[in-house]
Amino acid sequence: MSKSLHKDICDKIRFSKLYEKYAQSLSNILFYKYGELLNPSDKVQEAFIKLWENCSKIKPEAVKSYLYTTANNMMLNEVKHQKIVMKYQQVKPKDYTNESPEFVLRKKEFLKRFERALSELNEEERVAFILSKVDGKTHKEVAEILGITKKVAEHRIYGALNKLKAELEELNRK
Amino acid sequence: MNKEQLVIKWLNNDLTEEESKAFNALEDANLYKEIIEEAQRFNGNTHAKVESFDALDEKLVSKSNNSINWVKVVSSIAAIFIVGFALFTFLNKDQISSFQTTLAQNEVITLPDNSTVNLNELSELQYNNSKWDTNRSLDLSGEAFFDVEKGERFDVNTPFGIVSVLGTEFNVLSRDSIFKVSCYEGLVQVAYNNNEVKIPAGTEFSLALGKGIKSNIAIAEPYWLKNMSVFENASFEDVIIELEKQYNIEVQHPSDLNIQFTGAFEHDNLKNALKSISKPFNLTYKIDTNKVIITNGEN
Repeated sequence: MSKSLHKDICDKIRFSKLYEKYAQSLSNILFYKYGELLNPSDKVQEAFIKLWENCSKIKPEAVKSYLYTTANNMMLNEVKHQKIVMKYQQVKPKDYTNESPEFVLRKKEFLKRFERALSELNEEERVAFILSKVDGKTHKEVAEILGITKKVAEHRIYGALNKLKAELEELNRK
Repeated sequence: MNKEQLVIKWLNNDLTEEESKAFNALEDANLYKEIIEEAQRFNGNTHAKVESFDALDEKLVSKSNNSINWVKVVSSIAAIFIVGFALFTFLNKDQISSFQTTLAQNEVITLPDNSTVNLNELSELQYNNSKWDTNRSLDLSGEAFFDVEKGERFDVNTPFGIVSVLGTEFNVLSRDSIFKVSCYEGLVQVAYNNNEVKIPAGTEFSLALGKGIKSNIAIAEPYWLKNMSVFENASFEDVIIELEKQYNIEVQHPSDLNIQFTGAFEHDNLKNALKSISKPFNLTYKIDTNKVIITNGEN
């Protein structure tokens, strides 16, 4: 692990760099894990505020895991029995050329099922899958983020894909 | 390569061209692709967008002084206390400062306004420290030389009268029955028995039997400041008294001498001092430990 040049992060400029570097990806992970009902971005902010309050005590190399643990704990405090809800983006990512009524209908149904399937995936698989395929992380990066081996990460991603496929397959055969 | 390995490789965007073909040939290839494509809709960047740092920054402001150096804080608080305490005790003493000199001792006193007083032996000086700013007034008995800073009226109270300074340097001698004010610089005013006399620089005022006499002085400052006692037409008795005081000795001398002494003796060499006194009158002296005997005639 690289040693930081600076003794601590109690400096607005350095702190803002950290924020730019970690805030969004941390928020993403929380979202993939717990869905959006629990306001992942708020938790991220709170975690950063906590980090700032303790800035003199936390070594720069420990910042990332501190943020992750803090935000994750905040989530866990709230998550308890909350059901995970994944929402798909309403805006179409792409224009379809042949939008026949059946196609539109199928797409709608597909997304509805996708949403449900994704929510029903276990947390580990969902996070690994989305980090890899949506946030575009390599399998190695996913493994690092989640603190698992690359093999396990691949297994989870693959498992997620297969479960999603199983849910959506039937629709495709229609 | 089995299907699982192929799909995993595809998932990691790691397929070679050949493997790509194999993947595309899979029955589920299109569905796989659609799943990945549609998954993009769940991107956290849109669903869990974090605010800009500026928004967070506002919440941080109140916490920004978190890394306080406690040693500094504690020591500055301590310093404030110490300075405060010192000021408090200093300002709070409404104190009469008094000084006293004993035999053969003289002392330089600096007054609150930086005026200096050179207090000759066997003298006493008293003033109010806290009121000095508004009332420059002090009590003196004995002899002192004043070098007064510019400012308001400066009064020296003596049993014989008040000496007010309108200028800077002057000497006051108020001992036994002698009252003498010598002004060396500036202007001094003496008030006695409802009379007021102004004494300009280079003038000396002495009071004898209720009568004031002004005379000139030629010297720049009193001789006692330079460790000399100076006399002008003084009785031999007075000279001996002065000598006894300066050297803290006992002097025996013929009582029938009726001579006037004009001259000086120094304060740090008894032999020289005795010579100065005895030579002009053809007297001789003998020194015992703490006693000096002066006799008539040469030995």
